Amino acid sequence: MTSKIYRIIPRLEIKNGNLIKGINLEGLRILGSPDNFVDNYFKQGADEIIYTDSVATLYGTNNLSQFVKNTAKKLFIPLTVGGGIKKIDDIEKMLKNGADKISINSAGIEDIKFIYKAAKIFGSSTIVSNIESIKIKNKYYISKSNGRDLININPIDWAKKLEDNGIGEIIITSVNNEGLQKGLDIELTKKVSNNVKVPVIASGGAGTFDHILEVIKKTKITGVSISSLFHYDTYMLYHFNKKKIGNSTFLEKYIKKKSNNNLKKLKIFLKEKGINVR
Amino acid sequence: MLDSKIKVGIIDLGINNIQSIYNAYKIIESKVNIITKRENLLKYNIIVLPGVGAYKTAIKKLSNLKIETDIKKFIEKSTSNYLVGICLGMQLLFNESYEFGHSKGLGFIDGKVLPFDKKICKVTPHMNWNKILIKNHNKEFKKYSRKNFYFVHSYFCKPKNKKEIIAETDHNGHKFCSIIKKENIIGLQFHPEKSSLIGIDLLKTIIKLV
Repeated sequence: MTSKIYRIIPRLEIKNGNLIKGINLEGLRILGSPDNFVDNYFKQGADEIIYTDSVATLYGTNNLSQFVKNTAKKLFIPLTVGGGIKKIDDIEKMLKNGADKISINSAGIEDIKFIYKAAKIFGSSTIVSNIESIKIKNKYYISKSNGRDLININPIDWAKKLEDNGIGEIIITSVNNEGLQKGLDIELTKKVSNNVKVPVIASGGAGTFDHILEVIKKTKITGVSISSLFHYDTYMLYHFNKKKIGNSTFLEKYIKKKSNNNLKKLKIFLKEKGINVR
Repeated sequence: MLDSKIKVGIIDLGINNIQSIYNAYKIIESKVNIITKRENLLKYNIIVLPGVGAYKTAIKKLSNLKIETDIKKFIEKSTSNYLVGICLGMQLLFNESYEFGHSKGLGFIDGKVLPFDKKICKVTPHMNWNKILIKNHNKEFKKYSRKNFYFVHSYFCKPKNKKEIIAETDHNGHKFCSIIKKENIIGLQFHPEKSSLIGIDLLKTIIKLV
């Protein structure tokens, strides 16, 4: 029996055509055009890419379509797209533009039948759910609209319900840890991945290679979604000492300490630790 | 035959993402067309039957296109005409499937399409990168042995004739056929168009068979 391959998945949050990065899904900063970032990740051996439109639910639009179309032309790895997906038509449109999987959160919370319907039409493997979990006083909740609305449902119960309704994969994001780069929420990830059969992707808080190793060793996930850790390195590669894009002065100071952690190096690190990566 | 002269036709069943497979053939400089209605298939060297979605729907769409007999003529016309089924497209090549009940397939390859046994497989669907192991008797695909390709499926093909199996893959201890080849009919359970540069290379290898 072969051991499973752990997927390393860069996650790009897009707002008005720019790649942005927030802390706790808020406090957004512009990092630049997503194109360079995606190119870099593909070259470095990313196993998949996640695109999310961070304000889509709030404004009820999804302007990711064009990006998805352009990206798909040169990206020969799976592409997951999410943010503001509300209708079957939205899914169809994204798939036509080249997305492989569609990530749904808010619309599923509003009506779980939407997940069931989407999985039935497009197949379970096409429909992914991003659970945005918030921890308050040792109690876990789920949330919608990119962490804005708190819902009194436990993420483990919610994961099971999503699975019962045909979801093909679950991305479990800790909103508390997101963007802080201080480590993933092991307890949450463990509980969710222990309680479902579908693949679980851990997200939110990876700041070092050891954080990633820890979540792989201690939980039953099949992949890790990473943004800050890789974005800052790529940002340095493309923008530092070049033309100024985004809030560059602040970012450069902040990033200098953080960069030099790229995807290729992560995979070498994990392989050395006996973890099966591609 | 020179790569640049190869004509590839991709059958659009209207239920799946064929953009990626189109893009993949586009960058390997083949002449690629999307087939949306009944047309003369004999002008192509390779016909691709892609697929993500439900078996029943796909078979229904194929019969709506009235294209089944044309595909049959295409493969019978010349041994250097290749039919390539990808993922669900591979499964459609078989006699029958047990996805959501029972449906009849195209019957080009003897065998069945079955679901993964959930008692054996801890994680379903099989949605990940995984290695393919090329059978000893095969030379054309030998260089891809133990390389990782991207899979997304809950059902697998069980061919009657074991000699037609070119590659196998192990998912949670469950071995299944990941490449099948019966003369000029090839089935790939993984997605070459989503398997990074090695997937593109494999599509090139198939072009060289023509």
